[in-house]
Amino acid sequence: MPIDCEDQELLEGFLAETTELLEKLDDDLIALEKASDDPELMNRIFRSIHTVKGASSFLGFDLLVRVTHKTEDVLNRLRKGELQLTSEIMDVVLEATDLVKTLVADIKGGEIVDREINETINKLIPLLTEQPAAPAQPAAEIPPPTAAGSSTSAETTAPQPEQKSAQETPPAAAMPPAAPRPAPEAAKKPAPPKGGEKGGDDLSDNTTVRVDVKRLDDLMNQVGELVLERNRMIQLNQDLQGGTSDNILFSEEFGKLAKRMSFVTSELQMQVLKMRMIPVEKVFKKFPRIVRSLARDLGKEVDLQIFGEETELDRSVVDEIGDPLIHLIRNAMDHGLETPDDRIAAGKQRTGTLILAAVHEGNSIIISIKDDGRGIDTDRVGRKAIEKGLITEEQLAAMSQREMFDLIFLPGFSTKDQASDLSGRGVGMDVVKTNIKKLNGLIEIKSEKGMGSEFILRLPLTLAIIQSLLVEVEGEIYSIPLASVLETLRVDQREFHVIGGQEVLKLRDMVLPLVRLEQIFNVKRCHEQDNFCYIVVIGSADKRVGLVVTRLVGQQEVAIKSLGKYLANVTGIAGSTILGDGRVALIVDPVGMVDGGEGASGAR
Amino acid sequence: MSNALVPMNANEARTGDHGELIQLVSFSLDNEEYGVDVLKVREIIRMPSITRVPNTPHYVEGVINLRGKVIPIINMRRRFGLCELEYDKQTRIMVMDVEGELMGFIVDAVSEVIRISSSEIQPSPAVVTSGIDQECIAGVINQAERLLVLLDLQKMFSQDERQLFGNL
Repeated sequence: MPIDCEDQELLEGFLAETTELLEKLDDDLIALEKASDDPELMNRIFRSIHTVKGASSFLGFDLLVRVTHKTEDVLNRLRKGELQLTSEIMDVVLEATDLVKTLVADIKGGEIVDREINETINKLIPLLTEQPAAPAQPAAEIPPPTAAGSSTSAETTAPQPEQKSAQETPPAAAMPPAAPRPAPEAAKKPAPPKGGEKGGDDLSDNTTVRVDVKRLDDLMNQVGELVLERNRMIQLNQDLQGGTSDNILFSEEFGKLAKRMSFVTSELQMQVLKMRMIPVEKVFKKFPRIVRSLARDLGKEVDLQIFGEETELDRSVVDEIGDPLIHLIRNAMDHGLETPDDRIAAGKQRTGTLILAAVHEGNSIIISIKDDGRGIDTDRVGRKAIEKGLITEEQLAAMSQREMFDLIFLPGFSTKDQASDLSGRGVGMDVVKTNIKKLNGLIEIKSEKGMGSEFILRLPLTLAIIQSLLVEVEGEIYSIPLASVLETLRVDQREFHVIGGQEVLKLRDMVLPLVRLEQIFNVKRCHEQDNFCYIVVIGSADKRVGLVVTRLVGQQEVAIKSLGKYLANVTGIAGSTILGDGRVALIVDPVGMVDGGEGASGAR
Repeated sequence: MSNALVPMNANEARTGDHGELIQLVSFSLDNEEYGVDVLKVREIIRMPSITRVPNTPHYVEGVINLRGKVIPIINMRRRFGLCELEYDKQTRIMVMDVEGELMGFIVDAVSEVIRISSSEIQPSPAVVTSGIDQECIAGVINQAERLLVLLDLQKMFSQDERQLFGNL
């Protein structure tokens, strides 16, 4: 049924406000579970849901009103202390929130779908009548947690009772251990509406941006200056044409103008870039919820700590890092962290720690996911890789520790013998690597057996404008993203070695495979053979390759232009840019280069 | 008839019983005259400096900067397997809209915009000279003193070809 709403503006306002409230709500609810006695937090949650209810009833969204109304009632009882907050109640409330998100997403999509809401409402209703004196009673009545945030629930029924007791968090202390319910009942429970999660994700709006008024004002100032400089330029041109200014004066004035122009435009560029920046919090705030439900499913105790969520990065990057991060978090929780019993046996604290941190470093952002779990067992990883036929024994014997860590990124790799819902299909880490590569990012693993592991992602701040190194290859100019450039050196070609047909260079303690750009790009030789050439060492994800070029031209900030659909998949080329003289220069794809080099050296 | 040919607006469209009026841009290539629908042609420019793109089919000349947009350039002579010719004063790039994307085509010369009625378009003969792929010929126009080959560029860069490109 299409939405019948006369006032489109009103509807948009409602959607924007509701979306924001709901995003905050998830966060608050998780926080509430940890600090259930915080009245301020409780009130805020209550107010949010109340606002959503009020607005939706005003606009006549009946389904939404019914769900929010019941949720509000439950929250009201919690607020008044008539009901003690338990994980079970929290599950139901979270499920209701998910449902609300789905409904709002429907409205946003322009179609009201007649969804089944009674199931969730029926779960809420018992919470309204139950007496605080008998907290055990409701727990038995409420269907088991639905883990709506994850797509796993039905299969984890068997170990559930045990997990439940392990999960009793301090606020739930009032609840007697009678809470564990028979597993069969749990099995009867239908799978939670999967739309909940999806709808929640879709709520993040990518079409409109909220910009700080201050930033807009700054921008306007910059534009004002730009207009002044333009006028100055027109004036200079007129003076020159009209003969009122001689060449010497003109060139002096023009030089000044060029300097100011470059200053203003780079400021302007920064401002616009800043407007595209959003805090990484946007992605991070989904995680407490995911970690919570994962921890319950896995029977683990996890303390998620988030740092640097205010770190800003470009929208384009934010949109892309969500998936890889979820994979890494799942991975850390499933493979990294041990169960509470194992942890105690290993002499660690019962609760595992998962640290998610973001920080700026120069022109890139570094996101790290660190756990204090069992770490990567390289022996086991190596054995598994051989078992799966991904590498040979000889290859393994020649591997450094870092290379062994990298094995986990191979497609098809998994240390699990059986695929579970969470992991074990051997796609996860491959996906992570592919996504990070797509963003021109680097990934690094630090791990110590028994102490935990850390995955460090280094991502560019933006994908629209990049710092690049311009190089000349036999007369043609190419641009290499500076983020991937590790170093440049000038070497004598006689220092090259050839191993199995692959040219390599001994660089300090490392043997660097070389790629001749002129060969890859079929550039015609136009210079006399010169013994000296330049090597640009690039790294993508975890590999290093040296590109052989004729000359280094310089460093320049370039705006990336797509080559269009028609030339989208040219090997070794990531895009193009326009140089100062109006010519087009192609941007080298470091990922393609490194993989190309890998393929060539695979023969070793 | 190909839907690449867009009829003129309603008043003009009915010119007696000659069918709809169509405007074509005609260009020459190896002494043959070709026509493409005028509405698909965005602009006609002289040869700018072209940046070669490696690892592409031989008929992709490279890319150019068209007022801040980077667009691919196709050498029509090479595309049609004709012998190559030095670029001269007449050489032009026709910038066209191919399935929503701009592309440039190098042709020997662009001559004029002509009006014909759709009834003048004949299906292409079974065998066509000069090795041009059959499927991108939308028809021929046989007027008193001229023979005009009507091209459908949309078809020339059809799905298969793009796919092929993707795998290169």
